[in-house]
Amino acid sequence: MSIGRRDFLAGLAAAGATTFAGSRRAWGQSTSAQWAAKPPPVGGPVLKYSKPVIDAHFHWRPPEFFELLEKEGEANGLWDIGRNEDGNFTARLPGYHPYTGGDITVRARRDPGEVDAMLKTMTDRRVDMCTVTQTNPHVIWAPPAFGLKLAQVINDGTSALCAQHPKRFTGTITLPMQDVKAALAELERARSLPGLRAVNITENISGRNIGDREFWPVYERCEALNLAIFLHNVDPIWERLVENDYTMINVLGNPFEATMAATSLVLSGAMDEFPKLDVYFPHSGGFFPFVTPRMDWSMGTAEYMQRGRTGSFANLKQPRASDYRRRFHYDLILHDPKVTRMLIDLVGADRVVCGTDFPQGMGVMRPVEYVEAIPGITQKEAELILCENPARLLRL
Amino acid sequence: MKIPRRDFLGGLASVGGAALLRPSRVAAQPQRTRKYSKPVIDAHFHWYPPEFADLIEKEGEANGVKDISRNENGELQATVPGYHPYAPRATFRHEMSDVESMLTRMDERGVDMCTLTQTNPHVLWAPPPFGLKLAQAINDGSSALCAKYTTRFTAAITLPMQDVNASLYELERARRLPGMRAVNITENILGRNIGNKDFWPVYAACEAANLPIFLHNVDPISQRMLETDYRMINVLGNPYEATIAATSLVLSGTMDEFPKLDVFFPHAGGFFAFLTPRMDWSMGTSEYYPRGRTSSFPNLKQPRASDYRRRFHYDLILHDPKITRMLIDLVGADRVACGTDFPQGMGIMRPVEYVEAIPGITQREAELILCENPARLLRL
Repeated sequence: MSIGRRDFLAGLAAAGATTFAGSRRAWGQSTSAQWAAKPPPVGGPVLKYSKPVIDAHFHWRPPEFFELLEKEGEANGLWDIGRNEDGNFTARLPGYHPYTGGDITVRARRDPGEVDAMLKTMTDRRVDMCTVTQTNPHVIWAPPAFGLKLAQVINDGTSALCAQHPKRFTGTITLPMQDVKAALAELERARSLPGLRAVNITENISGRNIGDREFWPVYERCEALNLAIFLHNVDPIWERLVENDYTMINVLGNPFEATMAATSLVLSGAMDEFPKLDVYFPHSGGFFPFVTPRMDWSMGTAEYMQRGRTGSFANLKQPRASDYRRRFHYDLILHDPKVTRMLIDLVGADRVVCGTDFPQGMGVMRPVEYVEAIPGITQKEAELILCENPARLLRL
Repeated sequence: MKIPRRDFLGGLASVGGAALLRPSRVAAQPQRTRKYSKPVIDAHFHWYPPEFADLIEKEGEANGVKDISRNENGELQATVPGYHPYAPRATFRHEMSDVESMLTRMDERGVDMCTLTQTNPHVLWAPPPFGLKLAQAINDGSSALCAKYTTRFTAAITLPMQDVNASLYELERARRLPGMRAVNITENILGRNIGNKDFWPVYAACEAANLPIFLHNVDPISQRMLETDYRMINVLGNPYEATIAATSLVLSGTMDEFPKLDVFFPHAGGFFAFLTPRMDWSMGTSEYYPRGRTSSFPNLKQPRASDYRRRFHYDLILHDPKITRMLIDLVGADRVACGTDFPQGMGIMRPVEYVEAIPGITQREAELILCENPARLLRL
C-alpha cells in the first residue's frame, strides 16, 4: 500500500526521524518534553549522584541559525520556498536526503521561553548538564562558504548559551567538513569560545567514509588540541532502507551508520595514526563492538580460535580489531537496558557515556532511569556512565 | 600500507576452510569436550554440483557470462553479468564439489550431516530461462548427493527468484526430490527487499508445504563499503544484509501473513535480535518504557517488533562465543541452530567446539543448538 508523502513523513516523525527544526510546538509542549517529564513505569533502584549528571548528546539550534537560513538560504540552494499554516518559513534542501525527505521548516519567531523550558526539562530528567550538538540536516549540504557561515552562527550561538548557563550547558564545535580548510579555520576560531569542549563531525561527509585521509588534518588538529570528536549521523546509509509502506532508515540506518563510521576509522588506520584521539558515537556505536570479532577472524587473531595473522587489514597496528573497541565511547541509545549491559561487557563501563539524542523521537527520554535499569548496575558503574565518562570526554 | 586487491582477495581466500584444518595452519584449536546422542547437523553449508559449473561453462556465454576460463588449479572461473562488488569473479573451487573431501572435512569437524545450500554467485544474475535451468541442475545434483548419502546430506531447494512463476514451478517439482528439506532464497532479490509482496506467493507455497526458508546473502548491500584500501562489504555487508532481510520480513507484514513460516538466517541474523528494541520504542511498546502504541509500523499484529525474534532461527557466525551467549539470552537457545557457511572464509570451522565454548553452555543447550534445532527446521 502506497502512503502519501505527508503520512510517510508523519510516520518518520513518529519513528523519531526529525524534520528540521523539530516540532512546531514550543519546547515545553513538545512530545519529547512530555515524555521526559514522566519516569518510566518500571525501573531499577533510584540512586544519588555526587557529581553532575551529563547528557553528552543533546540537540539545539540557535535562533540565529534559522534567521540565516531564512535570509540567505535561497541564494545558497534552498528551493521550494514557502510558508506553512503557522507562518513558518519552509524549504527543501539541495541534494538527496531520504532520511528526512530533505524538508526544512524554520521557526519564524524566536521563542523567549525556550531556554527556560529546556532547563526545566533537564531538571525533570534528572540531568544537570547537556552537551549541544547538531543533527540532520547539519551544515554539510551547503555550498562551502555558506556552510562555514552556518557553522559560525551555530558555534557562536551555542557558546552564548553556554556562557549564559555555564553549569547547565556545554557545546561542541560544528565543522563544515565539506571544505576541510574552512573546517580547520573554524576549529581554530571556535575553540577559544566559552563552553565549546568537543568537535561535532558527521558520520559520513556527503557520502564519503570518515576514515578517508582527506579528513585526517582535522583529526590531527583535534588530537593535538585534546578535543574529543562527537560523531553524529546525518544522511545515513539508505540503500534498500526506504520502502513505500515502511522505512528502516531510522531503526537500521542510524546504527548501520555508526558501525560504518567506527569501522572506517579503524580499518583506514586513522585510530593508529592518532593514538590519543577520543571519539564518541551516537546510537551506542551501532554494532561495532558486536561485529569486531568477524574482523578478528578475518585477521586470524580471533580470541576463540587463533590461526596466525593473515593478510587481512594488514595495516592495523593492533593484532585484533576488537582491540579498538576501547578507543571509542558509546552512548545509551539501545532502548533495552539488557543490551546495554551486553555492551558494557564488551567495551567496559568506562566507555559507555550518557548521551541520549534528546529531544529526537528515537532518543532516550529518561537516561538516569535507563541506566538504573541496567541489570546488575552498581553505584560505581552508574556514576561512571552518567557523570564521570562524559565529564572526561568533555575535559571537565 | 595499501595492499593490492589481489593480495586482499588472496588473504580472503587464504582463510578458506579446508586449508585451515591442516594442523600446520592452526595455532591453537579448541578441543571438543562432549558427546551427542543425536546427529550434529550443520544447516548452513555450501557446495555446487559439477553440473552447475558445467552448465555455466557450456551455455554461460550465450547467457551473458564473460571470461570463462580455468585458473592455475583447474578451477572454473567466470564473470557473471550484473554488478557484483562482493564477488566480482566467481570461482568454482574444487573443495566445494569434491564429495570425498566434503565428507572428510565433516568427519574432522565432528559434523554428522550438512544441508547443502548456494552462495555467490547463485542463479539470480541469469536470464530467467537459464536461471531456471541452473536451479534445476543444482537441485537435481544436490538431491542425487542426498540420495547417495542419506544420513550425511540434506539440501535446500534453490529458486530462480528473478522469476517468481518459474520459482513456484521449480518449487513444486523439486520438493518431491529426495533430501530436499528447505528452500534457499537470497536476502535480497536483485536489490529488492524480500518482504516485497511480489514474493509472497513463494512464501505461501513454502508455508503450505511446511518447508523452512534458509536465507543467504548474495550481493549484499554495498553502499560505502568498498574503499580502495579496505573493504567492509564482508565484515559489515553480510550482517547488514541479514538484518535488513529480517526487518523487511517483519515490517512488511510477511511474518504475520504467514504465521507458520520458518526462516533461518546466516550470520546469526546480523543484528536483528539486538535492535528490535529500537523498533519497540518507535512503536511505543518498549519493554523498559511502554508509552502506548504509536502510529509507527501500524500494520504489525504483535505489539512489539521484539516479539518477532522468536519467529526466526539464527546460525553461529558471530566469531565470539560470548556474543552467541548474548544472542541466546535475547532469542532463546531453541532458536540458535548450527550453521557455519563452511567452507567459506568467514565460516565457523569447528562448530562443535565453538558451541562448547559458549559461556555457561549446558549439555541441553549444546544438544539443542547442534542437533535438535537444525533437525526441527529440516523436519527430520
